[in-house]
Formats: sequence, C-alpha cells, structure tokens
Amino acid sequence: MQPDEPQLVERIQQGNLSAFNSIVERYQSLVYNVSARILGDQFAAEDVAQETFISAHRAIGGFRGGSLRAWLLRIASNLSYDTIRSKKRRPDASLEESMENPNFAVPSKDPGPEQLAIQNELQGKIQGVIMGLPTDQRAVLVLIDVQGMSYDETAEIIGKSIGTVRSRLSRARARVRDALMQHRELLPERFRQV
Amino acid sequence: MRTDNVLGPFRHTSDDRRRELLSPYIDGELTDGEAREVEQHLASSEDARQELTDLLMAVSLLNNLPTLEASRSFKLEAVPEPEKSPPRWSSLWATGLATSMATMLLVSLVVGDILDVLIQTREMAVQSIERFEQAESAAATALVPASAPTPADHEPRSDGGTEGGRAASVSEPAARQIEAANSVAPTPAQELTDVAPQAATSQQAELVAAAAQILPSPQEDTTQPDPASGEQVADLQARALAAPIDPPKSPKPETTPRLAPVVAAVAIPPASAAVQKSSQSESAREPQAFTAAPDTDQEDVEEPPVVETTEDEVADTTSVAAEFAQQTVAPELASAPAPSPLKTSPSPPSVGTSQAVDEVVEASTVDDQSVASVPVTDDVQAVGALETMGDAGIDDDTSSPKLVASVVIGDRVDLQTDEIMTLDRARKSDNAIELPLRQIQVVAGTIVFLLAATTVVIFRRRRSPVD
Repeated sequence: MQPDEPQLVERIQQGNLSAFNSIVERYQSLVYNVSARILGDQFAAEDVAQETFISAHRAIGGFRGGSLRAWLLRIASNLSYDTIRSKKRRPDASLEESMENPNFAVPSKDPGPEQLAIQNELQGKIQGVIMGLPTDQRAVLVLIDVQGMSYDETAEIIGKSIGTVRSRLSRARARVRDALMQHRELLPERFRQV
Repeated sequence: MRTDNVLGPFRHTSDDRRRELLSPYIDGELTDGEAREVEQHLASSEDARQELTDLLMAVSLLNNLPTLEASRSFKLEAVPEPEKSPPRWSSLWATGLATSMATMLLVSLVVGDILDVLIQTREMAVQSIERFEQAESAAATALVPASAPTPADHEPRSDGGTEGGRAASVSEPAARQIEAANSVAPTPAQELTDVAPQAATSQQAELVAAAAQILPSPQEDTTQPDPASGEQVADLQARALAAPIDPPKSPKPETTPRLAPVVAAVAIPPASAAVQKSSQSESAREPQAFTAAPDTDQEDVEEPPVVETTEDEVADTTSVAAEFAQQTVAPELASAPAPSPLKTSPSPPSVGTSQAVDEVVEASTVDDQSVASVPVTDDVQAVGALETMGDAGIDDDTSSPKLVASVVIGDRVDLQTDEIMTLDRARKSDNAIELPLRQIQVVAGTIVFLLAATTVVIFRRRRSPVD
C-alpha cells in the first residue's frame, strides 16, 4: 500500500468520491490488463474493470487495511472468473476467436513491416497459449509473469498459499514453454538459435 | 535397464519434482537446500539445462508482453447505488418451490412409510393374538373330553324347537359332538352314535347305542323327527347321564375321543349301519374286524335293517364303533377324494353349521395341527389353501387320518399350522420385497431434497466478488 492510501481509504469511507477516483486512476490499467489477460477479451475486460471499481466502492466500508492493489485485483479476478463461467454457459464467441484476437498485438515503436507482423503474431500466440491454461494457472501466470507481482501478493490475491502459487506457476510456465516450442519460427532470433 | 523399469515411476517422480523446482529457481523462491539440489541437477544433466533455457525464454516472452490500453476511463461519475440482493427473485422462487415440493415429498414418504409399518405391525399383532386365542381354545376344547363330567356339565340345555324333544342334559363334550353332528346330519340316531364313544360309562354307551338303533338313520327323512323316537332318546340320554360312572372300557380311552367323534360327527356313515356291521361281526369282536373299511359313500349305504340286540351287544358295539370310526372310517375318509361328507350332506351347511364344524375341526386337529381362522385374501389363495373352499376337504395324504381344516366361514378360512406357516413365509417374502422399495423411495426423496437444498444454497450464496 502506498503511503497515502490509508488516508485515501479513510476519505473514501467518509463518502469522498474524488478520493476514490484517484484510486481508480492509479489502478485502472492494472485491473484492466489483468482482466484482459485472464479473459482474453478486451471488451469484456473493460466491463469487468468497471464493475471492479463499482464493487470496490460499495465494499470499501469493509476494507480493513492491507494491500489495496491486491484487494482490487482480487475483485477483478473474481469477476473475471464469473465472466468466464457465464461465457461457458452462453458461448456467444468462441475461445478461438479470443485467442487470435489481434487487439492483443501492440505494435512496437519502430517496427519494420515484417517485424511488426511477426511480433503481432507472436503476441497473439502467447495470449492464445495463456487462454489454453486452466483458469487457476492462468491467473497466477498473468499476475506473476505478465504483471510482475510477487508470490506473496499473488497468494493474497487468489486466496491460496504460496506453495499453491508456486506449483500452479510452475505448471503454467511448463505448458507455455512447450507450446511456444511448437512455434519456434515466431520466436525472436536469440531464442530460435537455442 | 531392468532397474530403470522397476524404479521408473519413482525416477520420474523425482524428475518431475526437479522440473517443478526450475520455475521458482528462476524467481529465487527456493530454499537454500532446494536451490543446491537444482544446481547439482543442472550441473549433471544437459536436458535439465536445456529445459531451464526454454523456461527462461518463455518467462521472458511473458514478461515482455505489452501493456494493454483500455479504451475508456473507469472513474466513477457518481456514487453507485447500494447493491441489490444478489439472488434473482425468479430463481429464488423456483428454488423455494422446488425445495418445498421436495420437502413435502420426503415428509410424505417418511410419514407414509411409518404409518404403513405401524398398521402392518398392528395387523400382525392382531392376527397373532387371534391365532393364539384360537389355538388356545382348540386346545382347551380338546382337553375337556378327557376329564370326567362334572355336575355343571349336567345343567339343562335348550337347543331350540327344531330339535324336538332333544333338550336333554348332556356332558359338555357330548354336547359339542351332538351339536356338530346336528350341523352336518341332524338325525337323532347319528347324534346318539356320536355321543356313544364319548360316553363316560359303559352304561351310558349302552343306552345311547340302544337309542341309536331306535332312531331313524340319516338317509331317512329327518325333517319331521318322530316324536316317539325323540322321547325315547330323551329318556335314554337322561338314563345315561344318571348312570353311575364306571371306568371306560375303551382300550384307548385317552386317544379315542379326539378323532373318532369328529369322524362320527362329520363323516361317518349312519350310526345304525355301523352298529349293524358290528352286530354282524359279533363272533369277531376285536377291532381288527373292522379294518375292512366299509364304503362310506352315501349312495352305497343302504338303509340298515333294524336289528334286535341285547344290552351287552349294544355295549360292545358301541365301544367298537368308536374304534371303527377312528381306525377304519377316518382313513377311508382321508383317502376318499370327493365328494366329501359335507359336500353330500343332505342340507347345505348354514353359518351355524359351519361354526359347529369349525369347532369340531379345531378339537380334532389340535394334536397334530393347530387351526387358525384367517381372512381370505390373495395370498391365502396363493398358498393353495382355498382349494377346498366351500366345503371341508379331505387330506390327500392317505397315511394321515387328519381332516383338512380348510373350512370356509363367511369370508374367513381355517388353516392348519403348515398352511399358516406357508402363508407366513409368503407374506414375509412379500415384505422382503417391499422393504427395499421403501428404502429406495426414502433414498430417492432424500436425494431430491438435498439437490433442491443445494440449489438454494448456491443461489443464495452467490459469491460476492469482494469475498
């Protein structure tokens, strides 16, 4: 928790909306990216991010301290799981579409045409591999390897032990590695020569 | 090679563990011991080193995934309204309804089952009590003839006007036999023949036998009894009862009263015929003389001529008649398939007649088989107990002189012990089939109830994302 967060939380609990919006501004990208990587759908991720902050504002009165970021990401991951379950009940779009979603390809600053195409394809493949993981492994992989969180904070977010986080992450990484080895031609040149 | 095959699973388990340790090794999340173990493994295994390299490549690619940009801001423009109740009302109503129905089903199953068990238990208890009482009364009835007549047995007894002048006082067993005999073939002669074997003294037996010769046989028209004969019978009966009590002359006084009176009362040919036969066999007075069974069919029974006999002859004849009835006539009846004596009775038995027959049957069969009156139901028919419904049948087993006790009394039938046991076994087997069905019903109801309850819990405990 950042130094000013306890005061912000106190002000939010007193009904200060601007204080809450400052929290939103601080974490909205993180919440959105975690949701988007877990869901594999940026539009759904936006809905989840919005719902995350609404739910957080409603529940902020029960916040008893700790990591506000972890608390928000816990809400976001739970809402992402709910969205995945509802999509499974009402499959309006196949997961294959989400896996090949070109929106996940973010162009680099100075790409050549060929490099841009390969980069987009690789990023799409990686997102596809992530979407192929079980939901519990996917969240751990996204939080630690994509968002760079620690094992402890990830354990707090998913509500599991560090041992569980380590095990899930190890299995998720092994699967990603095996999947990427099947598309070695898309890897950067430094990895292709290995 | 062989060792590798044997230890294969353990070796792979160890490799899997080391492979799993590579991931936290990259992140520095291993203990010192685990880290040393991984490093030793990497130093000794080229495959492990390649695996680590590939894993680092994958993690690097994941770490370098670009940050996605949302198309809009998620700042709140207004304070959101308080959250409504999570469960949807339609789902709540549906699950509540399902729960109520499942609960009602379960309760109805359980209550119905309990009531069914209680009713069946009560019915079984009542039937057991009835059987016990009937067996007890049958046993008591059978024991009475063995005792000497008491003064109470000589109390005057009125049997109604149809009996004419037959309102004489008789002993209790004799009265029973007379009643039974009247119910089947109400002729004074046969009545006295029935009394004869039961007579407590030889003097009584003589007098009764003499009266039997005087009175008409069953083949004669009995609708209008001869008043003169009735008076003679009454007189003889009175004299018989007033006579001093002597030890019985019968060679088997303890056993003969059981079955012989029954046969005499229910099925024997006219008493006068028996007396006639005994008179004709006067030279050979041993009971063996009667082993040649007479034809008991009534069509073959000719009207017996009146034979003049002395008192001694009557006495001998009377005592031997009982032997004849027990040893000869009863087996003959047992071997005779049909028609039964009751079937060929001149007049169909009324309810009172059936009851009298029932008493006789109970008294006669108490030694061998207990008799119980049970309602006529499907399972009674199933055990074949009603094959002789409507009449008193004769047991097919010719070696046994017993009477089949399948006598219909209204909607009830008397069963012997073996038949009752067969019926009980059939009913127990039915219960054994019904029991698993009830258990299945209860289990099914419980499962439905639990499913409905679980559904309600799931809907009501819709997880809050904040949890």
